[in-house]
Amino acid sequence: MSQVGVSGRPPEEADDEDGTQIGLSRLVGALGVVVIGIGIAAVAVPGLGAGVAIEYTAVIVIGFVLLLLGLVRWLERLSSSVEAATPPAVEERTTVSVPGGAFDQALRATPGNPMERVQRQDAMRDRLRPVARDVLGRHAGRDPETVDEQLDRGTWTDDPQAAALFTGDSPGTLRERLGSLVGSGSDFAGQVTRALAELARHADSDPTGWESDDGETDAEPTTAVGERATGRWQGLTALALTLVGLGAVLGRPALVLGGAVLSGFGAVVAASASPTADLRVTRRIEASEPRPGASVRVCVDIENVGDELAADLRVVDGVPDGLTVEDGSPRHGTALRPGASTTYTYTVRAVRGTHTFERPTLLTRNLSGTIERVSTVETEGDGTISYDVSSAMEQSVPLRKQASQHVGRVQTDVGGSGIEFHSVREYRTGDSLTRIDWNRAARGEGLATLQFREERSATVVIVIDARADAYVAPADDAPSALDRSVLAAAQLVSALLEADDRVGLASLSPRRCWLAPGAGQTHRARAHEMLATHEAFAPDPPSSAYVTSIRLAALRKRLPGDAQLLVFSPVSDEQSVGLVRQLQASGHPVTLLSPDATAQGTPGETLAHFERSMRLSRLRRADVRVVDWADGEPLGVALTQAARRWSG
Amino acid sequence: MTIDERPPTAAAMATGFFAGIAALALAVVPQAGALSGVGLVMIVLGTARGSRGLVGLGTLGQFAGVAVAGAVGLPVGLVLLALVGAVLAWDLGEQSINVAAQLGAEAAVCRPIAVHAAGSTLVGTVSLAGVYGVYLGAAGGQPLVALVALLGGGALVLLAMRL
Repeated sequence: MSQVGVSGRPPEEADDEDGTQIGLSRLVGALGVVVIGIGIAAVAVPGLGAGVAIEYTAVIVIGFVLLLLGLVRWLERLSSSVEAATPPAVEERTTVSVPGGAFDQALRATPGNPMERVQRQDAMRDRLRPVARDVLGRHAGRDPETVDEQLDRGTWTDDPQAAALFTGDSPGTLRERLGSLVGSGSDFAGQVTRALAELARHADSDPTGWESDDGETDAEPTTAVGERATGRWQGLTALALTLVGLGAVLGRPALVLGGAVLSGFGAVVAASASPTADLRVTRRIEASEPRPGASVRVCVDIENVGDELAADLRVVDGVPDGLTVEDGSPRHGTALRPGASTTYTYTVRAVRGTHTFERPTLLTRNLSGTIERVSTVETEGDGTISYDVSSAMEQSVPLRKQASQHVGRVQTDVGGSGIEFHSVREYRTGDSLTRIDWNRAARGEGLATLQFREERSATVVIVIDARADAYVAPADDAPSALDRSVLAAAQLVSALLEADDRVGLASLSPRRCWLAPGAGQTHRARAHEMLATHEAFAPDPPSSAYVTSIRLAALRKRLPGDAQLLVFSPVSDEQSVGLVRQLQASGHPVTLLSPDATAQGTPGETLAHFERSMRLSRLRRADVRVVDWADGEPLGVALTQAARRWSG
Repeated sequence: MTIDERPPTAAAMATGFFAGIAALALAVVPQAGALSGVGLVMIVLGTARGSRGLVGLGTLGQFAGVAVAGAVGLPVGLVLLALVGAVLAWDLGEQSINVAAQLGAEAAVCRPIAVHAAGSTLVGTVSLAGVYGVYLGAAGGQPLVALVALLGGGALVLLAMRL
């Protein structure tokens, strides 16, 4: 194993970790073959080696040398590992996040230095305190001063660990506290978790299902295209050298022959060539324009069009980011003779949008598995799924009493001609005879005119929150808040136009979308077209931030004076509260339809859930009508319940 | 949604089959049989769980069994059979693990494993048959220089392989 430099090594070995070793190995290998040849000749021709006198001790010496070399190889084996590429995780939807996921991650993460940890813990505590005050105030019915005092003293709960979060000192001994200062800070994470569990119990939800140790973070996929050695047969020569060495020292032919058998494996492995694969991949999508939320079957056909056996093929189809795999797997392993083909199917689902497949990743290996090649392959056939959102349903929307001058179905507080009784006033000349209160006239109290509530049409602008913060969903495979908003908006456009209201469309997003209020069939078709295909509602979130001062001002300029707003927003961040309040303050009554995208499966998710309900109650206090639309609840039910609350 | 990285049961059973050959061949020598039996259990468990480390340890156990059996003088044929069985068990176990890690249990993973196993078994059989044939044909009474040359040369070839 001497590090003798061999000059002029071939350029193709330049990428090896130690090219000089390879050059030396070749020399040694050739020498070995020559010496074996001499040995075989001595066996084949009797008497050839008889005259050469070497004591058997030489064999034992050789045995020890081999054992030593074997040991070196074993040490090398220990420091190496079997390499394999990690294909992309195509099953995961990366375009949508779960609210509170970032908090959970921060809770699990181990910060770099104590300073950073203290800052992060302070930030978390500041975030938790108002939530605790709100939950205790609302659900436990305590007044704010009591709550503050209880939080400071730690008497709001029986759990000492939860209580310690706000009192600032941890319940343990000095040694434990020092330990937590130098440790990973998991003590603090425990306090936060216990405190949130305690709050969840106060809010009548059950925190028992929280997984505590979901700390594993997946390794980054290494799918760099190219060929690399897997090193999976590392250790074979170490084993062979050890066996041969033992056999020589102990004088056991079985062990020496064992080394020879292993060399047979080694020879085949060393001689195996790079994997070749000449494939034709065809993708077939069944129903490429499905209804919203429908499952779509994808069939992938792989054919070996080369003239060599593809011994080990692994295909990972390029499922678009916004799709979730519902059934089956987009991954497939096979081996194909020349001309053979195989087909596999899996099912994907999304709520809406246009999704384009990427090229599948192909991992091929040779028969012995020593070399792995990663590549992407061109596909034939289909590559896009477009969901059709224009399937609208009947839906009546409780509108606010701001109406236009056009006749419609919104019952206003203005008296006039209509159906529902409003008031009585003195007769004026010109009033219709049918509206005179004849009973009153008969009693001799003079002529009076009945007034009915005027029914007028409303001008409604549907505003959809499509900022990056609206791309949230309660679970990885659940429809996102934006998906639900857009589908509901499509229904509402139909329903409102049906009721003779004028409907417009706008997005709260850096990707601007605006459709001025209008009426009629063409307008409806245009609105649906925009909801289905406009880039503002694309399945992947916008990359830039929403600058309120620029974007919202532009939107407010466009809004007609008599317009009322139907705002769709999951209210998953502070900015959305400000946006809704500014819209309301600009003189347009706002009805907020908020699809609930929070879950309560982890501490962070529960925190996000509490924060959202705090934001909603702040908006209610600001005279915004709020429809809290739970996941899985039909929009009609949420609207009816909300309307009953408003009228009652 | 994360993929389930455990190899299919059939792969674990096939791995157990090869490891079982090794354990059976060594069963005559109690210590060797015990070592390779423990190795067998570890290999099967390791394959079923997708743990390379466990399979590696089990394989080491089996090789130790082979070394012990060879040292106490078990017949050459059985030692070689056990050795090939152990190598194939490791090879199949590792292949199952890396296929399952890349494709997941839900995908079709059996063909790459089966074809690989077939290839390795062929290599193992040919290698075993060749070496055993030479051993039967040329046993005993050979000059010492032949042994030294074969040993030295073989070792050099092994060193050159860098596996």
